[in-house]
Amino acid sequence: MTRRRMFRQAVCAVLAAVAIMMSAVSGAQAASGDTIKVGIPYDLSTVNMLEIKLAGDIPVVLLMHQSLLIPHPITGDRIGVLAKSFEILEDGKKIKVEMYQGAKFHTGDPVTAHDVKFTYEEGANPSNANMLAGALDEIEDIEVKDDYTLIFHFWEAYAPWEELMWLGICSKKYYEKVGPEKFRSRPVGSGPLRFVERRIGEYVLLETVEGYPFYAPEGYPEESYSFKYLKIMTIPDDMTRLAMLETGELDLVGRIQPHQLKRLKRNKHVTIKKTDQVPSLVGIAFLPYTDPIMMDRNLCLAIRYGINRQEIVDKILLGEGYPLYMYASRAELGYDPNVVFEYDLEKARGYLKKSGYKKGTPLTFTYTSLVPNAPLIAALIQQYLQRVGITIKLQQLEEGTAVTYTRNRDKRLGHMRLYQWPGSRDPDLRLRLSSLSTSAFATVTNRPRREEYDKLILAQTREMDKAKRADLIRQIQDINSYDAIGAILYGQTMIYGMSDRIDYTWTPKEAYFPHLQRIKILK
Amino acid sequence: MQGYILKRILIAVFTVFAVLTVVFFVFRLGPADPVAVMLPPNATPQDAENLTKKFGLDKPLMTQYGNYLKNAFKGDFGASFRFNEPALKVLFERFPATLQLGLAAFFISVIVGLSIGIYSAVRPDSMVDKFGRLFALAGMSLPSFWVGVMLILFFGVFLRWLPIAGRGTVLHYIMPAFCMSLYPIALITRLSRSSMLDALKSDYVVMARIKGVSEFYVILLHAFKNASIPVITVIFGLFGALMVGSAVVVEYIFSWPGIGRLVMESYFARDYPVVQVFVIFVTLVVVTLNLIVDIVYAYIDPRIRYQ
Repeated sequence: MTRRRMFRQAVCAVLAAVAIMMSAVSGAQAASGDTIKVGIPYDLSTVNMLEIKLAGDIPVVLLMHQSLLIPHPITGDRIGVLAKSFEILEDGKKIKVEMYQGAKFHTGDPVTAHDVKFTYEEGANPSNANMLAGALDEIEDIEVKDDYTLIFHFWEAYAPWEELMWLGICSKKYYEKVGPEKFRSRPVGSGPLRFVERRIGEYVLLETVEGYPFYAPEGYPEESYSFKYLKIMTIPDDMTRLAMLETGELDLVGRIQPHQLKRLKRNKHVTIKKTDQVPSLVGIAFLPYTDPIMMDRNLCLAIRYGINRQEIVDKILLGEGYPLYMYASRAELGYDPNVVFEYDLEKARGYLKKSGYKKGTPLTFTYTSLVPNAPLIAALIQQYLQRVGITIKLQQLEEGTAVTYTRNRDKRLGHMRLYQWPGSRDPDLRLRLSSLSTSAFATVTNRPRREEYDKLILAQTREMDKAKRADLIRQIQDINSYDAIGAILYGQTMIYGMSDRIDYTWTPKEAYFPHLQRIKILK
Repeated sequence: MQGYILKRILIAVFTVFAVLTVVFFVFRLGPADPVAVMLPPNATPQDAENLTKKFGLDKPLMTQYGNYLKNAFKGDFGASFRFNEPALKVLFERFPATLQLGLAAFFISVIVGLSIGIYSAVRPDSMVDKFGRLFALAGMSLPSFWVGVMLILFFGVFLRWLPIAGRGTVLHYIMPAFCMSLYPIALITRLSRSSMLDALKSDYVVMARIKGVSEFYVILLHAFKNASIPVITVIFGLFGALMVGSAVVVEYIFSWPGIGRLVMESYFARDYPVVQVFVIFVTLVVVTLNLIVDIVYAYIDPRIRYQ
């Protein structure tokens, strides 16, 4: 056999092997079977409800657990799952909870009031460094009356108490049996999916629980699973995640940016859905501690009227959003579509003339990569304000540095900062932590009607009557509108894409993938 | 020879100590505070204080440094702020993935780079040589993040031949390993080609040919052995570089669950213990590889031994 012939045969063999491998992988990629793969951009910090570190951990962890209240998958309103009824006692200082009997953990043990108490106490335990601990400080004590009845004692009446009732209940018995280490790596809950495996940096694998929910809570929608496993995969790069959606390697991807839509829409195997009923807010914080000029009402109004929000929505979000002028997005309590600061260049210039701003003085505008398209938005705002007559110096900071400066009220953060609020249903925490002048995180501590403003914020926290509370929130918003210290820009539509073999609909009012157990396999 | 090796080991130990110190201070003196980064917007000052205490960041800087050195010598680099597990454990959980990918890229680089380089030198201006030079130029100049994206779009989305991301089958290695090895292939090709060209022109090669030694032995035993010193230096250095530089970008793009991606995510989360243990680990790898190179040098080249 000549060398040339041997070489030719070797090449043929290699090509044949490659072809076999390629056909094998094509088949493997197409057949995902009864496993649903969901792509998320971050690595979960934990699968343990008691040690939540990132807001993004919550939707995954909650799949394994059941809560006293959950959002209804269709309306988004809270409904009782473990809780059968709530009774407000002593003007809101106590909440009596009666639980359903029959709910079970994946170990088979019943879910009782003792487990609820254990979960809330461990969640608030500083040694667990749970991000929810701050919010749970509102609870003074939890009194267990019997196995299925308990009373939450609050330090003071707490109007947004429902915001604390969604913690995934953990099994006290299991925790005490296996200890914190094992519980951290193999958590047990009572949710629609059970934990199977976690590979840090790769995925979390969950399995549906047969016969769930074992009991029939009132208002809880009927669940029937059409898949066996749910794999939450960490794919940090946006382009890679969307490419995987296109090839069917992923079934569901959320938080798709508008500029990425064009390509996806061409793929007939990808279904795109959208909703604006999610908490979403991008705005500019004014920082008077850097320079008191940022409290000059005329300058603040000049900035508010000088920014063309509709154009930002049209040009940068490609229409996938809506201009926003107040501190609540469409899905949040307190949203008022009548609050509007229409773009008006002449009005803005008029306000600037009346302000104490000296022409040519640069105001530093800080942004980080956390806000999608931040450099474009910052450049556009610089242009708008330039037209008004305000000189803007742009500054990009790494997110960690910006967060540290914010917490320390460091002047290096500049005069204004572009920020994104992940959102919640209720404005209480945001008002008390970022607006109340005595809060360590308030950017404005000496607004003109400070006392009245602070009083209103504290009053809305304690007001148990919903109508009266809504009125207090509106009064707070009126002061915000008048003082104009800060400018809200827009709310963004949630765009999510899925392969054509499944169907899923986002639950309104939720910021992260909720109710993934409701994914249906179509083919 | 023993004195030479001892001297090299002492230099290596000093380097590791210096890196330990620099890493500690660089992260502590930076503007970002890990507690501020880790806390959610709704955290209270009490939460911040609790977290600061939990991570020992409330102690004076020099006390932290002393504890850090003491614990480092025991192999304890603290717990990851994010994962609540020992940083070393977190790193070692992810290390096999990087090692596997690094080895795949390393072997591809060495085999392809040396083959093209040697062949190009033996047959200058042939098609292989021209292709090799073009490939080397492209490999040196194309950034790996761009190549990665193009590979994904072409082989993953357009042809659908290869899985796009993750780790599982042999096929998952192809794109990231190729992407990682592009620059090393180019470097090895260029270096081995130029070294071989010099060696092939030398008197001992001419003499070997006159003596009738077969071309195979002339190239591999006479020419390549002498041309290999600079190539060996680069090859060993490359292994460290593959695990540090390329791994960060490639693992991110291809969602490869290795230490490159881990360190990037940990850096942005200000997870000091993980970043520290990564830097120290990589330093140890690079220092060890350099030590091996030095010893191999001395073995191959008697002049170094006698110096």
